Order: sequence, then C-alpha cells, then structure tokens
Amino acid sequence: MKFNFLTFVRRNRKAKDKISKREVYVFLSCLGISIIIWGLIKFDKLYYGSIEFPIVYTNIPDNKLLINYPDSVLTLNLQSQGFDFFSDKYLSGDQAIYINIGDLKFEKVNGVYKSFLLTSQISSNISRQLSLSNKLISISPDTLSFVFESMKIKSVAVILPDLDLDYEKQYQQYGSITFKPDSVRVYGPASVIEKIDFVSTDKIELKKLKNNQELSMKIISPINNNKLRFSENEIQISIPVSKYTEGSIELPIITIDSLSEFKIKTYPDKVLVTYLVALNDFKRVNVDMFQLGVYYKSDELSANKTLKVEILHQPPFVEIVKIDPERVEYIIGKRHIIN
Amino acid sequence: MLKVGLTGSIGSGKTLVSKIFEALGINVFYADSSAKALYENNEVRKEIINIFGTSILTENNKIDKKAFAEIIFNDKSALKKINSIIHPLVMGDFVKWLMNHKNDPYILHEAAILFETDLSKEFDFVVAVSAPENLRIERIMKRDSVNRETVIARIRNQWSDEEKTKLADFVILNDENELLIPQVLKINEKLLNR
Repeated sequence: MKFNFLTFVRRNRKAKDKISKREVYVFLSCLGISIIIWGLIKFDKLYYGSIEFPIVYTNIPDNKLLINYPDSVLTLNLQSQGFDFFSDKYLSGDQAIYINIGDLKFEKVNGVYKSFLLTSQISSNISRQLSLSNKLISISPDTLSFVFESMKIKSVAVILPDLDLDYEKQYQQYGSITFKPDSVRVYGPASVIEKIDFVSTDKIELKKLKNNQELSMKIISPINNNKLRFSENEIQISIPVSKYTEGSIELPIITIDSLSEFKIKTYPDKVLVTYLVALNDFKRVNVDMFQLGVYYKSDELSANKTLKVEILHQPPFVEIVKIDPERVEYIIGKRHIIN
Repeated sequence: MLKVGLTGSIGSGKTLVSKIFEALGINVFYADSSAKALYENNEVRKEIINIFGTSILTENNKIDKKAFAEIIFNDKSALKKINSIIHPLVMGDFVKWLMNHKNDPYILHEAAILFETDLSKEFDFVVAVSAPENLRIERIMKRDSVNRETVIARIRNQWSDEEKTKLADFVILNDENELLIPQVLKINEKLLNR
C-alpha cells in the first residue's frame, strides 16, 4: 500500500477539529453556570441605591393656581436585596408618584398662598403606590414647596379685531358688522385678570368680497398667559355684503342763517347728489330723506365768495359720493327784496 | 327801457344766470317757457299735427313732448318749420309782457336761439352765456337723463358758442371756475348806467 502524505494530514486535521469544538461547548457551559451562580450570590446581597420617579400632583384646589414650579421628580433612596432592587429600578417602567395636594394648608404672603409638604410624611403612601418591595430609607428632596395664586373670573368686552376688507367692484359692506358674544368670562390668575379689559381675535383680512361672511374666530387675549381660560373659545362675526348701485337725485339747497333781517339766495338753488345704495334699498330712496344746505354767518360772508353745500340729513343706508356743485355762489339781501 | 337778450347754447346755464339777474331786481321773460305753454294752445296744436302728423300725439291727444323734442332737435328743417310757427307767437307774448314792465331800466329776454332766428336784432344788447362743450354735455345728460349722442345731436342743431359769443355784446363764462355773480353784477352795472 502506497503512503499518501496529503491524505494523512487531512485525516488528522478533521480529528483535531472535532476535539476543539467539544472543548468550547464545555467551556461555555461552565462559564454560564458560573455567571448564574455569581448572579444569585450577588442578588442575595443587600444593596443601597436611589431610583427617580416623576411626580403627578393631584387635587389642585379649583380656586387656586400653582404659580411656582415645584419639583417634578422624587428620588427614593432604597435598601434591598439585589433582585428586588433590580426589578424596582429597571422593571417599574414609567410609573409616577401621585401626590395629593388638595389638603394642604396655605399661608397668605404678599397676595400669594404658600405651602409645603414634607416628603417623609408621605413615604408610606409612596411605598404603597409603588408596591415597593424594598426598604425606603429616605426621599429627596425632603420638602416640596408650593406657591399658589387665587383664580379670578371676570367678564370682559369682546371688541372687533382689525379688519382689512376688500370688496369686488360694486360690492360693499351692507350695514353694521355684528358679532357674538359681545362679552366673555375670563378665568385665570387674579394678577393677570386685572390687566385684561377686553379680548379680540386676530386681524381679519378678506379680499374681493361679494357675499355675506360668517366667521368663527378664535379668541385671543391681549396678555399671553397659558393659565387663562375663556367661557367661549370663538367669536362669531357677521359681515353683511351687498351689491351697490349708483343713484342721483336733485335736491334744493336750504339756507341756515343767523341773520334774521337778511335772506340769502344761492346759485344754483339745487344740487345734484350722487349716492351709492344697496340694490335692496334702491327703491326706498326718496327726496324727503335728504336735506342739504348752506350755513352762513356775517363774518364768513365777507371772506368767502362761495358757500359749501353741507349734508344736513341723509338716509343711513346711502353713501353720498358727490354733490354737484360742491360750492355755490350766493346773493344776500334784505328779506323783503329777495324772494 | 333797454331790451336785453340773454342767450346761450343748450346746457350753458342761461336760466341760472337769469335767476341771478332776477335776484338783482331785473325782470326776465323766459321764451322757452312761453313756447312750451303755446304747445297747449289748440291753434298751435293743429298746426303741429298738420306738419308732423298724429304720431306726435300721446294717447290723451296731447303733444308728446319727448317725441317732439326728438324730432326738432335732430331735424333742422323740422326745427325751422316749428320756429316759424312758434316764434312769432312767442314774440307776441313778449310784447304783451313788456307792457307790464315798461318802467324797468332794462329787461331780459332769455331764449336758446336769438342769433339763429335773427331775433337778436330786436334787442339793444345781447348777453351770451358760454360754457365748455364737455361741461354742457355732462349737464344735459344729468338734467334730461339722455345719452351723450343725443346731447351732441342737439348741440349740433344750434350755433356754436364761438359764433354766439362773437356776436354778443356781453359774455358770461359759466365754466364752474369763474364766479357767475361778479360777472352778472358787472354787466348789470353797465346796463343800468346806459
């Protein structure tokens, strides 16, 4: 039989590989068992440590507002066996500590209400809440301080916001812009409430209006304070819009004088008044709804050769855009001469 | 007594000027008003129907003033015919009217056409009221609620402002810049001192 060196080497390498793998398994198994035994020994010992829990304050008095920033985290110093400590620290999740501050006793100092709570007084309550299997040694901080301000309700006026309205050609606002409510109750810290006299909304910008507008606008306070609450959150604003047309009417000029023995005659004695009126109201317009006149006083007559024609009365639903002519000449004479 | 004619193109403001003269105590004969009254006269009515036919009448057998104005303002020959009927009658009224004012220092006879019908020769002086054409058009459009074309057609049937002011003895400019009353006062003073 012929000796083959290469075949001999290959057979030896395979045998060694099998031995090597077996040794690794044994080693790892021993290591694992050692760790477990080590862990059990460690968990069996007593440990001292601290765990942080977030605080949630409950039963805040309705008529008071917390204005300071009390601690939001309690640090519990614990003594326990390793396993318990481990489960409290790492398996408790985001569990919070609820602290009832509804029964605090307050002391009024400079217009605010102060109070404090010793955390040692609520340690048993905390242990119960967290189902701590450890011994609670201490709590940090040892005192929680609170500063409250009394809450106040006040009724304030609602005012229209700044308006930037633009209408389509021939369209205009028709009557008054209305809104409701006209007042709201504001609830908040007394010191803030006292400074609020009105509320409004953001500026309203509307372009090319041709229909009535009904808007719900969020109330905004002139003072920015996130503790403020309003009885209504929105204001309903109505902007009436109508199509307008132009009309004209010839009207006599009346004279309003302070000179009893003299009479004044104007030339012309009539003017043409051009006005804008909503289509709905066009037929309502008549001559008797207008009154135009000139005022004259003796001291003005020498200074002015013409008198301005004034609008003495006009219907509320029209807008006079032109009086032609705007000024008139006049002759003044004794009443029995001038007719 | 002086007889003074007061004329001016349509929309020039003749009546306004007349009213100012009246406020100064001057009596004014309104030829246009007299002419309008004559249209109610039966004899005049018959003559108008003879010329223009019954289509010129309203349902109440009265002269349709709007249709009539439309015809005479747009047809020079029709205007000439109607003037030949009306003007002698108007002048007859004027003569009667004068009898009541013979003691006045002067009187005014306001008429839209004086030079066109040669009536200007009947007066000692003629005052012409002048206004820019655009302004006159605007005034008539507003006064009579008619469109621009209608007003222009009426204006073209009359003499131009330039022709009238050239022949007039006094001119009053009613362009809404110049004050009317001082111009009237000046003319009034001159006429009173004649």
